[in-house]
Amino acid sequence: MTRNRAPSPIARHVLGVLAEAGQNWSHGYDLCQMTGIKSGTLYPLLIRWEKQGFLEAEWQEPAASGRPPRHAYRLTAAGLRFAREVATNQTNEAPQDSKEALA
Amino acid sequence: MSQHSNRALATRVANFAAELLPSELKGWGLAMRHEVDAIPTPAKAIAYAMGCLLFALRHRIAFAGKQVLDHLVAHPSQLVAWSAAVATGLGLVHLAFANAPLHYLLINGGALVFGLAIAGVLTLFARVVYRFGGLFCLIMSGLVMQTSLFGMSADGATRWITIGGFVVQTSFLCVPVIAIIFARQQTTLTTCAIALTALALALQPDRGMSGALASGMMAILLVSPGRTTLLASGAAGSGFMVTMLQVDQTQASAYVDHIYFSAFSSHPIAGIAVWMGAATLLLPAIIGGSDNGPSSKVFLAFGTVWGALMIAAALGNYPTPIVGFGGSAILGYVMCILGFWNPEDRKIHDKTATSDCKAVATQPPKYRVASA
Repeated sequence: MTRNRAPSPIARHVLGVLAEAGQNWSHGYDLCQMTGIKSGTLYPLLIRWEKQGFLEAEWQEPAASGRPPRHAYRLTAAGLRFAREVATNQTNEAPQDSKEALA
Repeated sequence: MSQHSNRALATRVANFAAELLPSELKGWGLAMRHEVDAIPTPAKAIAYAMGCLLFALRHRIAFAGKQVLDHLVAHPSQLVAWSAAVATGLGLVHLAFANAPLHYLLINGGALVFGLAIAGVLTLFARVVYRFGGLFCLIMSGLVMQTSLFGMSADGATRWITIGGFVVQTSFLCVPVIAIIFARQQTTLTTCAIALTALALALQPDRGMSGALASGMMAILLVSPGRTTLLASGAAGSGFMVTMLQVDQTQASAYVDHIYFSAFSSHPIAGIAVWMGAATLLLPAIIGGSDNGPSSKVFLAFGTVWGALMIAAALGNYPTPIVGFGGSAILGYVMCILGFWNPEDRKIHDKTATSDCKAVATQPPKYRVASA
């Protein structure tokens, strides 16, 4: 069974970006650019959320020919609920953390 | 570096990262590689690929570490052998930096080699030792008693015998093994062996060893209360009380006693080696004790006995196990391998390993490709 632990400020930030994207798919590189985190930090989060059922992934055909397909991500319904829950807890419990996460 | 070679480097790094990931994450490895290819700026692609590589390396190291730990927990004999080798090595570092006579180092190193060889040979008969564990314990307790009655004396204590020109403290060889065999097999014979050993240690007298035996028995009593464990704890506790009532006049010996505190004054490296070696001695108990397997009681007894011996060495004039001069403790530690051998553990481990392999082989692919 996968453990549900309280997300770190970085994880909350990525979760927020994915929640904002809603039904739109995001790519790994775009997520890194939007959140300012390194790919080595991003992938463990994505892998964990995918295992927990919070994230869905799909291969998308490239926009330009000759390029390989790209892996894209978005939150599932459970993931969106989780993101909302995290955002609510963050607002109620630790206003300082949210500043850190958005910094 | 040209744009082209930067791009090639990024691809190579990403490919390597993907290869490092275990089979269940291969899909993610492919995702990383393709993402790197999609990044327009080669310098940024390299940075992204390096991040992926760091993640893959961290994952690989953690995965390999877990595999090694799982293997060692399933094969406690190997865990004890490795701990003995590392701790003895650190003990040699201590002796060398503390300017101990060369033959001290040779004796400790020789004891490890000899102990591992003997344990290796005895492991061939481990099934017999396991089957007749009670009798084996009784013979060992008889050896401790024989030492108490007819052994060599020094400073009012009778704890040693001479074998082939070497002075051996038999309690180091026998007490930890008896305690851990008792942890696995609580029978009339093993209980008698504990009582006989407690009596022998009271006669010597040896507070350190007696306290270690009593601590080990108490720990077993706490996790599996019963008639035999209560009797064994009572006998070991009484023996310890008797040793405490007697006068202990043994004098401290250089490179043997009070090393935990004195090693740093010899040389900082000697001090570090002593403390690292001491921690290594308890590693099997820490690693194995965290696992709730069939050997958890054995690990508990092992850790308690050796931990108590280390405390005794820190508090009084008792030999510092393994990291100080003295081959008896090294032999005794290595002999504990015999107490850990259990055919049932092997069956359980083999079954688990087989089912794990099947589970990995039958995992369905996780990713779907979206239509354009």
